[in-house]
Amino acid sequence: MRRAHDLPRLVVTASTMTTACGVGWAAQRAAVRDGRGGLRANDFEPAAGLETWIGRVDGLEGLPLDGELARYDCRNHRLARLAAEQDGFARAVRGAAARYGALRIGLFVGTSTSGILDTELATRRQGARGPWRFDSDHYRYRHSMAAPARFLRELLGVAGVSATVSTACSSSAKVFAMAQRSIAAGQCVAAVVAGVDSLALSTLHGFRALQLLSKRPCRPFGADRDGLSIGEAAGFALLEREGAGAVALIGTGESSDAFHMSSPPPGGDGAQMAIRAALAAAGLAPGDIDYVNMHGTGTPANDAAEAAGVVAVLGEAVPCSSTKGLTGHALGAAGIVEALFALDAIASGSIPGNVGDGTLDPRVPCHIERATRPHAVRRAMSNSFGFGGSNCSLVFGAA
Amino acid sequence: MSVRLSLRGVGVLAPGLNGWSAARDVLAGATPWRDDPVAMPDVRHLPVTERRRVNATSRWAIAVADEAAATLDAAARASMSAVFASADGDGDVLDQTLAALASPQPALSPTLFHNSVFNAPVGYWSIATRSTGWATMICAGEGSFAAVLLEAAAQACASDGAVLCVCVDLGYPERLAALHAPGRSFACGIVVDAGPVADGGFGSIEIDAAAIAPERGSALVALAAGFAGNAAAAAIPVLARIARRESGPVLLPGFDGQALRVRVIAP
Repeated sequence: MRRAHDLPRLVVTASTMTTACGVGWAAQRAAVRDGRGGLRANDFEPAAGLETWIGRVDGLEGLPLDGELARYDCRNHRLARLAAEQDGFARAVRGAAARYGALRIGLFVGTSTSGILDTELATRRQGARGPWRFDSDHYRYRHSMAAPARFLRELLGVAGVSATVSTACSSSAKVFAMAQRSIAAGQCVAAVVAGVDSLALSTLHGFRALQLLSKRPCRPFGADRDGLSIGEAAGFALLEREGAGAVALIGTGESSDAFHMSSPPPGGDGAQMAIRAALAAAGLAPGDIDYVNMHGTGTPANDAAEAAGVVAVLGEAVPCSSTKGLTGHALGAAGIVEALFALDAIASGSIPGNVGDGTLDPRVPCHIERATRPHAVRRAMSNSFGFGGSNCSLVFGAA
Repeated sequence: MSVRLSLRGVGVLAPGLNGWSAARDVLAGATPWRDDPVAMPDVRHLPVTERRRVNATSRWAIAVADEAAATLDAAARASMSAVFASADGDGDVLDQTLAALASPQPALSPTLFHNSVFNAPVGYWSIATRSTGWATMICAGEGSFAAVLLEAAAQACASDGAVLCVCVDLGYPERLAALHAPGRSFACGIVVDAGPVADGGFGSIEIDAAAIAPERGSALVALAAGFAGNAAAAAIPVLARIARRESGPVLLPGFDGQALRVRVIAP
């Protein structure tokens, strides 16, 4: 095992997210409070006929990017802009850029599919055989993996070290770890971390191919869970060494399953390693965690492996829940969305309930919270696990 | 704050650059480069199931990773962390995915979906080498090699042990020519750590993020003409200095016209 050095705790000085629950923080908090999310039967026209539920963000079709941002116009960037402009986030970043200088603010964004939907629709219009024609700006500004980082740098006016992290469903959890390392190494003094993923044909049909899409709303840790519901979302956080903010990032842990491309080892070994590494980095004992926001996708194997991993390290008593019943699985954006739910558990003093119809699986050994309830949360963990066996656990604490 | 990293191993794979020992003289300028094709790398240490499925980008990435890590002892390899990057992902997988989704009955195969995840190369590598440590996969467009060095420097500061850096970009199929055409394929791997430079080794590399400047990086870096358009080939000037055992600065393309100044230091 590698020995980790002390890394700085980073205050979350601004944050926001937009999910199927709605636009900005107020909509997320209302959804958590009421235990009522944004999943709906598939009405995404490009994927018509696919029997599944989705977490769709309303109105993106009517929000084209124009003016200087027109070349970036695609569903993924429309969602990113809509989200970044809520809760004063973009303004807070511009303020930080004025204080530190734009070149000293890093930007790390997680995505799994970038703007691929617009490429899929363009090729579908032209037929399966090709050769396909594309607008000359399409690849650089909309399709490529670097496009979200490029777009957000321009939108938010930051110019420091930048990269897209694309490790499937752990992408936007790993941006927190990358930002923390980058700040510790002096590569930047503050960082914007983000995650953005939007509905795409390749992910909808891909998860169907693996028989991992539920035909009903997903039921994380449910007795009859049978798959996930894909969602779309964008989340943002501004990380600084000091500043006004109720919650700080205090530890991160990353590991690889080295087992299979899409299935975890049954005992959640990779999850255990990530959780242990995050605890060690935060200087905490297992009993110090007051709430775990689980990856909890609602697939039989993933929920079982994660629960086994959590219980092996943290025990059976710690309150746990998955918020994917509210948002759906936002893939490359799931990491930051769920990190922000964990952060808000500390800030609001309440534990979000695990939304999903039906009874909980009695074989799941961890303590799943059914309903949102007040509870003093000093430290919260968020778990994210992705294809390729990519695991990341984050720990937040009161600043 | 600049960080000096010791180079522990190097790997390269590209047309006419078939492995470090074969490519060293070419990169050093002692032998002219020839556009010789390279065979698709075998990946014998992958379990049978994964070996049947693994895509080209992952094969190339694993090949250069193995070569770069070959000089490490077993303990160092076991604790190694990994930063992989690609500007363009896997063009063949994208091509097949788009065709499958454009057909009247859109459907993907499980293998195609597995291989479509951007981090497939680092995922397959971790399975092949049983590496359970810290691993990531990033993209920074034409600045992807610079981004890999920055992340490796940050990781080397954040914990003990070696960091494997892999940068891979393969050519795109003809049907996607209007979308993107990265040209010839290129992959390279280096292993670095924060320990002292070894006698007779590969030397070291100094990375200074403060030198990120709003300059036109692409105009400042002479990519080997044969690999123009391939982001991973931004590594060529660095590999050339390592091959020549020659100290000196390299200005690498950074994000969107920025540049990262690094310095290769001969052993």
